[in-house]
Amino acid sequence: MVWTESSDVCISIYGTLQTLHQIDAQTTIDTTGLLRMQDLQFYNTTASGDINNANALALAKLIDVTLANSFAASYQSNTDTNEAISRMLTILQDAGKTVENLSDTVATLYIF
Amino acid sequence: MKAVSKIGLLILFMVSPLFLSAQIRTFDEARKAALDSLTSPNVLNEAMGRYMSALQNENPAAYKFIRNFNLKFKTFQADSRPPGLGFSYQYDNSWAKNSRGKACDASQSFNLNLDGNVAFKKVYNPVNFLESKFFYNGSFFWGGFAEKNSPEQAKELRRIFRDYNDALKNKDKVKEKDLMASANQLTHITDQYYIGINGSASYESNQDFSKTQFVPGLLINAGASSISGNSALRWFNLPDYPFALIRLLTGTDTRFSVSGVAIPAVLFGLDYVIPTQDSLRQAVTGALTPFSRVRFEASFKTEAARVASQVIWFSADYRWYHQLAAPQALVNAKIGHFNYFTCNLSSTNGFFVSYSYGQLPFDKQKDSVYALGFKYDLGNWTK
Repeated sequence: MVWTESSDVCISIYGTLQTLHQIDAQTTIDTTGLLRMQDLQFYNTTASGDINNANALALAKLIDVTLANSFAASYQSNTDTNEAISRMLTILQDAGKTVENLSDTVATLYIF
Repeated sequence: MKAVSKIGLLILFMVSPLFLSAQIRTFDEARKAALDSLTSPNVLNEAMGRYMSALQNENPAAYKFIRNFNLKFKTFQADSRPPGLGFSYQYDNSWAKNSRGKACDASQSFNLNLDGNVAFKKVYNPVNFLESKFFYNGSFFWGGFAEKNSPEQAKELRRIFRDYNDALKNKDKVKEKDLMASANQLTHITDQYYIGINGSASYESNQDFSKTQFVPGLLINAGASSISGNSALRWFNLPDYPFALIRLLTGTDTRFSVSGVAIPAVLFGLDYVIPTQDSLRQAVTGALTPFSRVRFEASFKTEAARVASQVIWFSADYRWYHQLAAPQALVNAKIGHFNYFTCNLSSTNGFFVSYSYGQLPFDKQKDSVYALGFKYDLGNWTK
């Protein structure tokens, strides 16, 4: 999926990351798609994997809540909270994955 | 053409006993050759493959279990010993459940890993090691709730963020501020607290269980986030105060604002360590005896400033390791206890300045290291 501001998925991810203070407030949508997980607030490259995995899980839960409630997204068929959090967690735990990668996964989990 | 084929087959039939007699001279050798071929890993693996194909239709549950079990027949051969038949097995499975409760949300996962090599004659097994490992992770969350918006409100929220993006491009500060205030009206997320418990138990043995060892591990971690600007929790984030001041002085923030999402995360662990290649420890104690160790870690990351459209992040991590009931020789050599601190300033374009001090468990001495440079991502860089 192309990362573009006209997409409801992309704008919802951008809004979620702004709301959760994971990116600097002055970051535009274009720049956000290119950011890697290690460029977000929660991922600390100096910390151990144990800490980063725990932070990633906490953030996955907040992203799920924000998308489902603030952005009124519903789950795709055969998807639920459990599946959504587990799939997003896989992306969040990988320092090199980008926000665009996260958006691709979110597009398969939620309907906007 | 047909006549040629028939003659060829006739010649082959006539000379085949000559080939066989050249290979097998006695009945015992013939019997041994037949047994060898029937018990070769390839034959057994092929038979197993056919059995699995049939089982897939007849009993899917049993098929799924055995498929995950991953049994493979193989030949072991080490040094000058004769080859021995055996099998290796591997079973990896995990179950994860994220559930919402009235008091708190829970995210739990169970992992079971079995791994080993078994030779039918154990003396032929060069990798005589079986490992059965169970891992549990339970994370419990309090808070982190958001009010449910209607589809119309969600649509309005997306419009606000599109307009906010335009305001950023046009550098319209007044509009930026108004739009962010409007977005905050539609996103109320409560403070989130969590505690995680990781427990692992590993049972290691050789294939006849004459040598066994139990390796337990325990990890407890905790963290908190304050999303809403009205929450009092963020004012307890003391490490962020100097950075809040820097953000104010550099114009990154328009007012003194302590971050609620940069609250340090902490971890406390109890490890059972089996040293394998620790020459320093071997030299001091004369043996590589397993030992118990406690460890603590605290990590912190916050935005330090935004300079020329580049966001500068400050990341820090402190680790402390302490061997329980360490022998006096280790204490005297100062390798029963370790401290390590590292921090860096880095931007998304790769620029970084870092400083590290202390000693990790495999370091020979305390070091104080400064670094300055650029980090390039060539496609396979992860940290």
